[in-house]
Amino acid sequence: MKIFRAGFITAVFCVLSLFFFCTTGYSVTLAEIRARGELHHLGVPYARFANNNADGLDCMLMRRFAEHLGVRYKFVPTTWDDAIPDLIGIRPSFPERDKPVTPIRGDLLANGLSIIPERQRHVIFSKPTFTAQVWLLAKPEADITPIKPSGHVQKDIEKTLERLKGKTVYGIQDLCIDVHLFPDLVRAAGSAKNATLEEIPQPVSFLKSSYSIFLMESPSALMALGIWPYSFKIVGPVAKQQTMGVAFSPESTELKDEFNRFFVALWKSGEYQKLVNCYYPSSFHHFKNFFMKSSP
Amino acid sequence: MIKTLEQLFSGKKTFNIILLLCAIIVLAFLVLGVLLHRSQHSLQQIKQQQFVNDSQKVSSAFKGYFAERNRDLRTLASAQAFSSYFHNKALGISLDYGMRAIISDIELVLERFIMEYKVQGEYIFSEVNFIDYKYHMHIRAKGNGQNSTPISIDTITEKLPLSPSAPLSLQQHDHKKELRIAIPYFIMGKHVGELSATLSSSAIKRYLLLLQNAEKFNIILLYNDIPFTEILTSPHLTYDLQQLSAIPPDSSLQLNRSAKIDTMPVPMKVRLMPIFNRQIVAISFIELANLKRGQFSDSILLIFYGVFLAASSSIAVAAHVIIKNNSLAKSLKEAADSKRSTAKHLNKLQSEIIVRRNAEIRALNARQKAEQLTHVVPSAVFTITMDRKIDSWNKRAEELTGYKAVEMIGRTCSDIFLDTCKDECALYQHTLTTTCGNQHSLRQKNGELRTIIKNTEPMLDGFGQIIGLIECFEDITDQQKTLAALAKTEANYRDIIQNAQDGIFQSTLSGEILNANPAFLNIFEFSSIEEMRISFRGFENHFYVSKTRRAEFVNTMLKQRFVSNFESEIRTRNGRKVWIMESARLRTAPDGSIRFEGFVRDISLQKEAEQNLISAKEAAEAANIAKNNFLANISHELRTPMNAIIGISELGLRSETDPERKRNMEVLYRASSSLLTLLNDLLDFSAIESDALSLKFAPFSVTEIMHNIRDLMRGEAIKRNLKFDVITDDSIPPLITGDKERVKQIMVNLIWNAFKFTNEGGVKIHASAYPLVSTPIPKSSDTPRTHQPTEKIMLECSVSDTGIGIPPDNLEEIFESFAQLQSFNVAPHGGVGLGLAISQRLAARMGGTISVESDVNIGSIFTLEIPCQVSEENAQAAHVAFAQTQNNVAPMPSLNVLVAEDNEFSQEVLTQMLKEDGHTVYLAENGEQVLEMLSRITVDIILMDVQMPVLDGLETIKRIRAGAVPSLDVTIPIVTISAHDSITSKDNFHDGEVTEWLQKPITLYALQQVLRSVFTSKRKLSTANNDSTLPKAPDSTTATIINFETISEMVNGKQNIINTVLRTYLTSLPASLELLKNAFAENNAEEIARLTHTFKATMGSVGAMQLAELAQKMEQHARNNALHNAQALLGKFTTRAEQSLDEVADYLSQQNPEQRVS
Repeated sequence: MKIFRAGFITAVFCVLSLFFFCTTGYSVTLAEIRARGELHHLGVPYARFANNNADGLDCMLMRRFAEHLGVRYKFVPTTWDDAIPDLIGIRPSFPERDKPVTPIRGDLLANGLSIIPERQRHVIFSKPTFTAQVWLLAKPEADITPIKPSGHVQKDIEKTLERLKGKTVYGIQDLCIDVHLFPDLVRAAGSAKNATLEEIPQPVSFLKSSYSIFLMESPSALMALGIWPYSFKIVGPVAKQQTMGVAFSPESTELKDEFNRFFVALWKSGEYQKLVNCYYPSSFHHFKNFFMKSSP
Repeated sequence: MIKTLEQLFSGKKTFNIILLLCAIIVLAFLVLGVLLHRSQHSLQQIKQQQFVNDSQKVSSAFKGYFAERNRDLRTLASAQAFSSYFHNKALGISLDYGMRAIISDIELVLERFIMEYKVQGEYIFSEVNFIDYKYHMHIRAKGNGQNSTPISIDTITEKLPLSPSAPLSLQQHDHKKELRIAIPYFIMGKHVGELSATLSSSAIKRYLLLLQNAEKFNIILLYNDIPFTEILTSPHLTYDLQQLSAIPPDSSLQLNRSAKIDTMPVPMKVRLMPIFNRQIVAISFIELANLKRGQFSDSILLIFYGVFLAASSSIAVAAHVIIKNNSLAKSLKEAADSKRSTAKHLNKLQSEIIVRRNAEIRALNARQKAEQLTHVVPSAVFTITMDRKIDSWNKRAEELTGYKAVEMIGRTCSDIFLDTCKDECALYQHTLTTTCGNQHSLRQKNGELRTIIKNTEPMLDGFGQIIGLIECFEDITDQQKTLAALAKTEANYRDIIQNAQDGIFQSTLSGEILNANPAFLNIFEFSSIEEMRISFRGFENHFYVSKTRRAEFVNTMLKQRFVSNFESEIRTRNGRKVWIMESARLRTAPDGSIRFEGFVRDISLQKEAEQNLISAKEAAEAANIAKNNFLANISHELRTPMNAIIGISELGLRSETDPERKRNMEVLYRASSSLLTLLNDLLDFSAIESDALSLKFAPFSVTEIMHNIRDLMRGEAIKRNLKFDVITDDSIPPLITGDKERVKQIMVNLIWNAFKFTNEGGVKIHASAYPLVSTPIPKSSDTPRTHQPTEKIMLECSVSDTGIGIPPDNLEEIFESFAQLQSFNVAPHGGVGLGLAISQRLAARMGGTISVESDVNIGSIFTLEIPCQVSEENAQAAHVAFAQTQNNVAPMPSLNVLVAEDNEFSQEVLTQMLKEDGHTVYLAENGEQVLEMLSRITVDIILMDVQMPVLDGLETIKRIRAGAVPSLDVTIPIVTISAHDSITSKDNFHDGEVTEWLQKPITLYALQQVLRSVFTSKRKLSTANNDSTLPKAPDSTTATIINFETISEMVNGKQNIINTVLRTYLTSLPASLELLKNAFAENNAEEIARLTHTFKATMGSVGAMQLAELAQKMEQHARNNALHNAQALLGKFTTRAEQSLDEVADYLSQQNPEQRVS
């Protein structure tokens, strides 16, 4: 009888252990964060969204969110490669059955992360916090002229792509300016290539590179426009306006919902717009229609 | 003039000073007026100059302001946003994809430009514009005055081509004229646009106001004769611009009609200053009245001078009046002086009259007093004139001589004085000498001859001439007789003192002999007082043999004011020692010094006799003690064989069947029994006589004793065919405190006596009690009285018999030692007559008495009365408690016990006790052995003697608790054993160091209790108390040194343990005694202290409390390094210890031989 009972307990323990250890998702609850007393903000140091000094638009936004939760704030720097694995504990780039489990390092990911379907397969996004457009840029001496805006984005895209015929265009792998994210561009351009992150760590690094024609998202382009005038020209858009948001582990819906609540309130108070105007004044003015909406 | 001045200043000094001050003030006024005029003029000049300076300053400041604004605009032009705009535009960047952000940047730059420059919260630039000529872009930022208002920004794409603006122009909006400055913008050398800014007039106004000093003036700024900024001091001020601007530049003019206030023309000082190529000029103007502000007006000056004149004339008038007053005052003063001198003379005259009158009165009084004096003087006084005639004779003279004054006045003095006094008389010698104390004789009127003593004094007149004599005399006839009688008496006393047998002396506090009689000198063997004084001067206490004796004498005198029979040994002049007895008293001399007066008696012979007597007494007492000791010793020695004789005879009596031999054995048994009784009595009597008997007070039940006595004596009564009744009264408390055994002994003695002397009838015992303080309890009372605890009662036990009785004459004798009434036939009764003597002495020792009433052939009643105290204890409760204590003893598990004890005897006792309960015992002799053994063996508990050689118990316990033995649990129970006082022993340790403690001598019961309390704390014995863990107080009345009962109590009556313990004692004691003697021989105080401490424990363990006390005293002396005191006790201790060995040997021999073998 005793042997049977011991066996039963062992079996239950094993089943529970398998259940706990084999679960692929990872969720963090508000209660856990409050118990821990600290919000872990994952972020890739990128443009004016986040840097290693825990400064930037998203860092400030998450700092406010931590204050809202009543916990301390901690910035956990990561890389583009590890950003999503650090958030969800799984490296999604591997085939499904061989997904290696990685350590969870943060509660949410925010560093001007574009909401694109590729990412939405692994994480869930908050309401859009920022907007941007991927533009085609060229060095001043490049044999390519900016388009004259027609008033219709699609037409402008087409005009821009037309100008790429026979030209080589560069993007950055795994970023929102990965050329593979724009199949029309690949088709239209003479050649579409990706530079590596080691070579071009930030989109603005193109300005100092030898590449003449390249892609850049609007916040970086607008920021560079004021700083380094006459060093590049904006040819035109290659895609429609995108939005950016805060990424959460698929199971962290409670945290996401809480963030959305917080963000809507911050937006409506006008405080968020002040933050954007502070870090990205050009983008704020350029995309005034987005930022001046009554609600995100 | 000079005369007038002299008159003026001839008055009082104060007036002079005031006059001088007034003159100075008038002059000061004059000077002040002049200075005032000068300052008026200077002030006006300064104000005008200040106006000119301020105007110049304002124009310069505006010039600087204008230049600064131009610089600001150029700084704005250097902003990257403008160049970025043109460059990016040139690259063809569209508005939708990039340029909108650049334009936003420019808007932001313009907005910041306006907000950045402020004066007192006012925007300096009211508007700023960026114009792109090429792309017709015009961006305008516009501020509205105050910084709180938002800045509006317009971005316009102009349709018409824009042309460059003039660098300086006037902009007019809504009646507001403002200066506008513009700079061209070049890119790559091409004029592509411009930046312009409008200067806010209100900001300029604020700036210029800041520059103005306290004296405000009007300013107008003109651009090409058109005013764009004006600062006016009055809202009602209007001006004619044409007139104002017509004056030559950089000059000051006074214009009377160029400005008006409320249509009234106001004279103005005007200055015009070109600022910027005559395109911009500044006109400043100020009211003339303002320039004169702060100056005195003419009317005020007029008043000032009027006051000055009035003051001058007043001073002149005052000077004139003062001169007049001075001359008048002078004449008045002269008149007053003459009047004062007349009054002074008059006063002097009056005082002289008073003095003379007083002198006359005094002379008259003196005369009357002198006359009265002669009458009241207690001596006879008379005066004679130059012709030796008596002219006065007082009452005393009348009394002494019997002659009245009327009889003597006019007669010569030689009529009455028998012996002539010519030789002494001043009148004869014609000298002024005074005679004093001369004796003369006079004859009284009744013819009696008297001796007088006379003084004579010459009388002088006011010029020192002798005018007669005054003589005074006193009758000394009786006085002479008294002195003669006194001298005789003194001679008698002197003879007595001189011839006294005892020395009589008078000395000072310091011991100096003032007077002494010959007997005193004889005692000290001196021939004279001087000799004695010289000999002892400075060494007054040297004649005392004891150095402190003199101090004692003096102290007693000072304290009591007398000493009597103060015996001292002194040393005489020749060195002989003599015993003296002093009796003296303290007297304070008239001069306040202290005197000792008294007598000294030589008591050497008396002292010698006394000493002989004391020696004889001590010898007698010693002999008596020796006798008693001998008696005690011999009795003790006799008793031992007597025990054997009685025992054997008793055994023989039981086993013998032959009647003849049985009778012989019976005779032997009786004889030996009676001999033993006699010996016991002798022992008691000896103890009483040698004062070695002490009483043991404890609660006991009288009823119980009476029951015992009844049971004991009933057989004897039956044997003698006597009626025997024992009655115990209900008035006796259940428990009283007293010496139970001694009470019982007395009662048995009395009853035995009654049996002995009663042939028929019976013996009746009656015991009762009555309180000592309240009234006795009526015997007829039905309800027994309840006694309070500690109440004092008298226990009364009477033994009445119907025996032969005692004749009244012999009643006193029966209590004497060895007394039996010889007139009676005592042979059949036996005994040596010690019983009653012992009983009476015992009763007396207990504070009681034995009384007797007897009638010959009727019977006797012996009554014992002993004061006792009602016990606080309740007999029943005590019994129940005892029973419970016995029942609560729980079985103990077998333990491993480490006993640390250096005393061999104590080791044996503890080992036997522990083994008796089945424990395993390990022995260690010192602390180091304990630590060493603990590292090897495992024990449950340690019994630790506190005082051990090498390493004592205290230190050992501290080391164990500190973890000195690694494998040992530091919380192991440790029970200390000590012969010290319990509280002291406990205080030697900190809390928790010691688990329990035991005090020597240790009883088996106490040991069991402690072990149980340590190991079975849950089953705490409720009835155990501190007393139960301590050994009971030994019975000090026991004649033997060893109290075997105590040992028995300690080990719960385990006979085998007692035997083992005593055998160890027997073998170890002689060696220990030898060690002690050696230690004394070596004067080794430490060793003596250690050994005596051991002895204390040993002796306590065998109940030899007297020896334990002796050992303790010796230990104390040894620890105090008073070895001589310890040595004094050693002899007694060793003697008794050796006696105790005999007792132990006897005891062991009495035990069963088998037991001894086992």
